[in-house]
Amino acid sequence: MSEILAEQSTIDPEEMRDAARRLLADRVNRRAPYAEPPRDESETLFAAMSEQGWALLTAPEETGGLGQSFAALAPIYEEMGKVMSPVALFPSLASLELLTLESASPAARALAEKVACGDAQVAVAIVRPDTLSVEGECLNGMLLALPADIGSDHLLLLVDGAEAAAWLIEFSAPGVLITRPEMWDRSRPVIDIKLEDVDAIRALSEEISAAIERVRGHLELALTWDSLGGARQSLDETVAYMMSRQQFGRPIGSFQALKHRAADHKLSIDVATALAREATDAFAKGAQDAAVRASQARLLADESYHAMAEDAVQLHGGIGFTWEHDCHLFLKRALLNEMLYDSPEARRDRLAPTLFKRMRR
Amino acid sequence: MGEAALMSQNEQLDNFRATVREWMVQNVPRDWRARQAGDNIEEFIASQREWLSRLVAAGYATPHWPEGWPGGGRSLAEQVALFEEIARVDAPRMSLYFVSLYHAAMTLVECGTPEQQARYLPGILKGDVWVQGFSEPGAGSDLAALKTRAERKGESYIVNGQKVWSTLGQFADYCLLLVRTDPTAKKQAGITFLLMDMKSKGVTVRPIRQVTGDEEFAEIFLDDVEIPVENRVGAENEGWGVAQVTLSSERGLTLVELTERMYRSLWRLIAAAEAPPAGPDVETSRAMVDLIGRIEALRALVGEFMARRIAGQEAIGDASILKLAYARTARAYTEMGLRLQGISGQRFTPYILGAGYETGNWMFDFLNSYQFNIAGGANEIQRNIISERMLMLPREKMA
Repeated sequence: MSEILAEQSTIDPEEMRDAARRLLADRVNRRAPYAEPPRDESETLFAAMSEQGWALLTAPEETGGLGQSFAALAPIYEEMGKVMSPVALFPSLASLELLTLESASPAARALAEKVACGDAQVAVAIVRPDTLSVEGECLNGMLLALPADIGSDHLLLLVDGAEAAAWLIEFSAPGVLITRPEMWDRSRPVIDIKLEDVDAIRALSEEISAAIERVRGHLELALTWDSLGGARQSLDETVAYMMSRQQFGRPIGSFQALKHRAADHKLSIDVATALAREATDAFAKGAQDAAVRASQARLLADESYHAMAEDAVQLHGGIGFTWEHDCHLFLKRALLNEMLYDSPEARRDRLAPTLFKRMRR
Repeated sequence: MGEAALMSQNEQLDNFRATVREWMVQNVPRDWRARQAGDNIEEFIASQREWLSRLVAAGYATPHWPEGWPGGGRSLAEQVALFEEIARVDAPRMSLYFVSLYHAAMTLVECGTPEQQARYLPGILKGDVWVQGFSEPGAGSDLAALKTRAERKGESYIVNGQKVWSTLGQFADYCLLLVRTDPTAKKQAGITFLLMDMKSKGVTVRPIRQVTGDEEFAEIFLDDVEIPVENRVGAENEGWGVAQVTLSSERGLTLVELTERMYRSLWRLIAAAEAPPAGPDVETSRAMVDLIGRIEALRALVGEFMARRIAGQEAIGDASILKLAYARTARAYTEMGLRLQGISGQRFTPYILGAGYETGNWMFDFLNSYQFNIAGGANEIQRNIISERMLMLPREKMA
């Protein structure tokens, strides 16, 4: 475990950022998944993250964790977005929001301890009741494109709605069929899961909805910061290109038609960051509407990443359209980020009643 | 600062806020919006005067003035709290007096002589109206290209030229005037800052009718206007620096107020969206979710900006980010209101002056929101500043 983690009771998020940045700079080659054949470097990266105790950060102290708030994780997620980390980590860490609860089942708490040490990894799904058929504790259904790191061995399946449920499923259980589809984005491993008469374990049997909201808030904020990190990196690299690329005898970055677009991207990233900080703060403090704020932040962050990465290709011109150039790495990750777990439209529809209520006079 | 001192400072701030809130509840004319709807500009001026005198008496018009003036010597944090409270209770804006209380007063306080301060500051408290005479027909975004000429003759300057976009110039008593005293010097170097009595011989004011139909701005024509040298602020040819003080005098408080007003009047949009019989369709409700997020994000951005400013940690370009963010959000906000009203939004209805861009008359607000996108450095100028001073992109070649 690093010195930062051992010495302090409340970890300075910026120190965490520095540590994360160093580790990621050493371990991540963003071209590796796009090499022919692709190189998977995620196992060594995950091992390094575990060694530095990233999974322990937000686990409660009584379960052997470091009891930090989400504020310590946000900069890590942002730095992971900047380098387009091939390890997602956030599904496992989000699962801890539920698995570490005192009211969680013994199986859940046992799994939590393993996750915090890096000995187990969890994929998370939050679905509506009609996605699954449930008889007793026997589940049938199909779940598509869930972010799941290479070593994932458990699914935390959360059913949202009036009859909320939290199921724990081992990948090795009979009837579980896992496939890894090829995606346009190669930086994020995802899985499809087919459940055929699978015996699931209840992870929690009281106050399930509130716990689901904690997990959701974590997922949403992790993606928010990933998108913001990616957007800022894409902006930085695009601006650098606009300085060096000369046409008509001057840097293309001097043309207002182009630099104003860069300014607008910076603006929308800054605006989204302000909301993300507020949402992170709310989530770290355990505010009641934290998950709603997290989803709001994600909408803005994903949108600014999408717009930035899309325009980056255009601002680079021909070179941006090549496989060799990195523009498409950002674009593909941005487009995937936007669609993970649900579509932005579904997210807006989910948020609308709550936000209307909040703003009504 | 020790923890105890910090605590007492926070307590002080909370107490101040609570006092302001109570005062506002009791003193804001309850139905001012309804009563002022359709007021002509003279009636608007009368209600602004009344509101100013109440604020001055309570010490809430000049918290930013030095100690010794009514309510003076308040911290920036307290000033922020004051404007938040003004927005919270939906009090009228201080439109007519904003230039007097902030631009004129802070220029005098920071750059004026003791004689100038003694002569003009008390009048501001009594309702003297000041305007800016900065922009010219040929000097808008490129303000330093201004041509209004001042020639020294004995103990006076003789001024000839034309100014434009002076807020409510037709009601002004005094003018903060930028003139060129050295036409041979490089642009910014030959400019001088003068205080002009609007009753001087040779001053002609002509109101400008805007797209909304009302006349909130004016042109000022200057023909051989004589201004005493004692009315100069700062040294001759050093007026550009003084103008920067003028322009930075409001310290972001306008955006605190306007953002808070927009946020607190989101209910108007919700009400419009939920209007019977249909209620919001899916497209509308999604667009509303986005807009609410943008406004809350803007509010968070303003909060961060003011916190940095209070801590003295403001970065170059911060103000441009904020202004552009507000300007764009204000357009999106008013446009949504207009869209939700359908054809009835196109029906002319009386509007009220002296509010932000949230009067509820959406066509008026929509048209009016151009103001923020153009005045005080158009969006395009803010984008230049952001790209050149924050992203460090090169300047475009000058013609």
